[in-house]
Amino acid sequence: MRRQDLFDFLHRNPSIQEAKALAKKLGLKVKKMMKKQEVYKLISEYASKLPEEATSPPASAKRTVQEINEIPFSYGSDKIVLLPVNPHLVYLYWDLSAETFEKLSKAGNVVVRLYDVTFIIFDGKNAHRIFEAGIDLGVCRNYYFHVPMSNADYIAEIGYKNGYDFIPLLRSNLCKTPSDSPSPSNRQRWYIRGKKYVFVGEAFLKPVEHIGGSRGSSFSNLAGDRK
Amino acid sequence: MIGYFSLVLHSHLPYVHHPEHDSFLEERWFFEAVIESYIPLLMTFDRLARDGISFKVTISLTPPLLEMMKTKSLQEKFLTHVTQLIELCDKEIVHARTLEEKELALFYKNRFTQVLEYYKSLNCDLTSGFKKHSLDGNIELITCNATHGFLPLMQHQPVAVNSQIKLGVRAFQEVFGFPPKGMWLAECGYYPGLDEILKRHELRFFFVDSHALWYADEKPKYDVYRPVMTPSGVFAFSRDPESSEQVWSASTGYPGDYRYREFYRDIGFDRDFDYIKPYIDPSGARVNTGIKYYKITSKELPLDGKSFYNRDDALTAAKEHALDFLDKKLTQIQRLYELFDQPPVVVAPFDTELFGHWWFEGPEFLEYFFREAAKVRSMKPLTASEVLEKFDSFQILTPAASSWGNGGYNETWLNGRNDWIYIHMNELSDRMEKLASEFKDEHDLLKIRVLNQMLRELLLVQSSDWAFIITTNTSVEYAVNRIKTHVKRFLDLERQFLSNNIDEEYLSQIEQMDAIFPWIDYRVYSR
Repeated sequence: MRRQDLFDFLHRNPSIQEAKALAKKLGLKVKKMMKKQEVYKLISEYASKLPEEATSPPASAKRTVQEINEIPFSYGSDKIVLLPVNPHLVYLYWDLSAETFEKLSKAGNVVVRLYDVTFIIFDGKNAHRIFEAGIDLGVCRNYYFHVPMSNADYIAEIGYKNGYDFIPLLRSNLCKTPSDSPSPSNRQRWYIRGKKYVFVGEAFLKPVEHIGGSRGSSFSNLAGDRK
Repeated sequence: MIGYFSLVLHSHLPYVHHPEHDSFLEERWFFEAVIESYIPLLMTFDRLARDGISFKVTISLTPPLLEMMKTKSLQEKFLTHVTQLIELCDKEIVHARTLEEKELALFYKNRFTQVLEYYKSLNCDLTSGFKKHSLDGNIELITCNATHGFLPLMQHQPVAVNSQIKLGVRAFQEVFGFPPKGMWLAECGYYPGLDEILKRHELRFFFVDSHALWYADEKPKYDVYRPVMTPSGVFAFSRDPESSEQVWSASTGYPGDYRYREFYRDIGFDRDFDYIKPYIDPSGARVNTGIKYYKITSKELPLDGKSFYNRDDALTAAKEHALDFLDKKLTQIQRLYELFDQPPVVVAPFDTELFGHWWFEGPEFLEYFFREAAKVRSMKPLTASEVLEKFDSFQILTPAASSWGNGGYNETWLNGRNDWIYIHMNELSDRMEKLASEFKDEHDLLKIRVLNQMLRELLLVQSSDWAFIITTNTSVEYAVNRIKTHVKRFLDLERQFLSNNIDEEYLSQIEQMDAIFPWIDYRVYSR
């Protein structure tokens, strides 16, 4: 298997059984007690040693427009991007420069953090809540955070732990999760054609086509203004 | 009059264009949709118009679809394709083993011949068929964002969203000569704030799924049965869940009736290989031909246990279902009217391809529906713009972030199978923005061509179809290759541009292949 295939394999988050099976196939020493992350690491280390070869496209790709060479694995862009999946899940990926990668690798204890920053201007310290996950840079390039609160604003960072201190290196965009429940607000605002203001309060409605028997609005003074 | 019904058909296919091949498997997606949905629907509209029936439909035609409809090489390939199908019908008529088969083969020959003639009568330009009915006022044509990019996953890149909207409007204007009043957001993908960008491009309305109003920042007084106005002054129509369930539902929906045509039993898979070879993919891969002899019969039966399709029975079913649907709408509207003391608006959006392609008798269902609805006084079918004229007050709300995808949010387009796409899409978008801003005043025509082509490649990567296909596990290899192809072409062009070493031959070649939006201007991406 090619280096890229192995990374792609790990990238798909295979089960421990799959990972062990592949590791055995590669002739790696798999111990019975090994955890999933340890098997991942074993494969990742093996893959890193393989040369980065230019490869021919798979036979099945022949039909396509032109030969597709592999596209970059990384752009070295030093970016960390946070995207909403649903009200309770956000997706985070990072694309590191060689410099940042090296810095993190050297420091060890790499973590990604997710901050709940709903309704605040985040200064790096004032988040409502902080979620944290340890990351193995060799195998992991993204992370899904389950989040308890919908309709909330989140920001992520990647960095490393130095004792109890967290040293962030990159910060993501702001990401808002969708709402998943009706609003508790009882406010109503209405646009009324021809009026310059927004009407706040119980509905003031008058269909253009008049319907026999429909009740009049309680805001008769406004109705009187209208033509 | 106690209520309004607004049917919305969203027509979309990804941009599949391979002029470098005489025949290309995925181009059949377009041919099938034309033969089974777009032309039958246009014929239905013609008949209704001829009989003076006011049918009202809001139809989105996405920019990639418009581009394909206008592309000469695809038009020629389509003619060849239908001609071959007619030839295949002739063989089927000769080889028919039973009377039923022979009758159906004749039916298909007749049908394909009509499709071919109809297509030629429009000078091979389907957009003219839609335009005609829009000028008559029976259908309201709207656009979609440029390449059907899923906007909720682009919201961190406002330039990308703005370009999708702006180019979507422009693509429509280029084809029809007038601006669209509304936009179908790809996959009903909406997030708070998107309305401001729609407003900027003078769009009056868009559509959202039901929970966009249910979970809005304030409670919708009339549930999903009245368009609302967003704070930026754009109107949002929300999907009626009942209509969707009645028509769409895999278990209880109309298309599952035993009398309808069975989609999955096709002679492309049934016939001897040597016989069918000229009519399937040149690689030898068996594909649908569109000639299908069997009816659903019973959902429990395996494909080889199906009975022959009977056209008259199927049309009877379509008529029964149309009457049933109308009845359900009238009851629903009556109920809502009593509840609200106000006329409700029932909005029923569907993929156009449901009617004809997936549900063969769908166009006839719509025809019967509108014929019967015309006799009713308590419900009036209206286009979206017409609905807005019927009221002079609208609740102001911010709809919630949502989509009409599985689960109602973004997971169809972002999950463990396709999340790898986003590093490329985002990176290319950032690079495009940087280059477009830096070279805003570029005068070198060759360089301008390169920047324009880079933008085309980026837009094609942004198409939500690839992530969707990967999730649904249908033509994954093709989708993955398309992403890689466009990313690679973008990066090749960028490299050539930055090193001032432009390979004009290569550029011309991909300009011809990824030929979407010939009028494009990369400056849309500049800050």
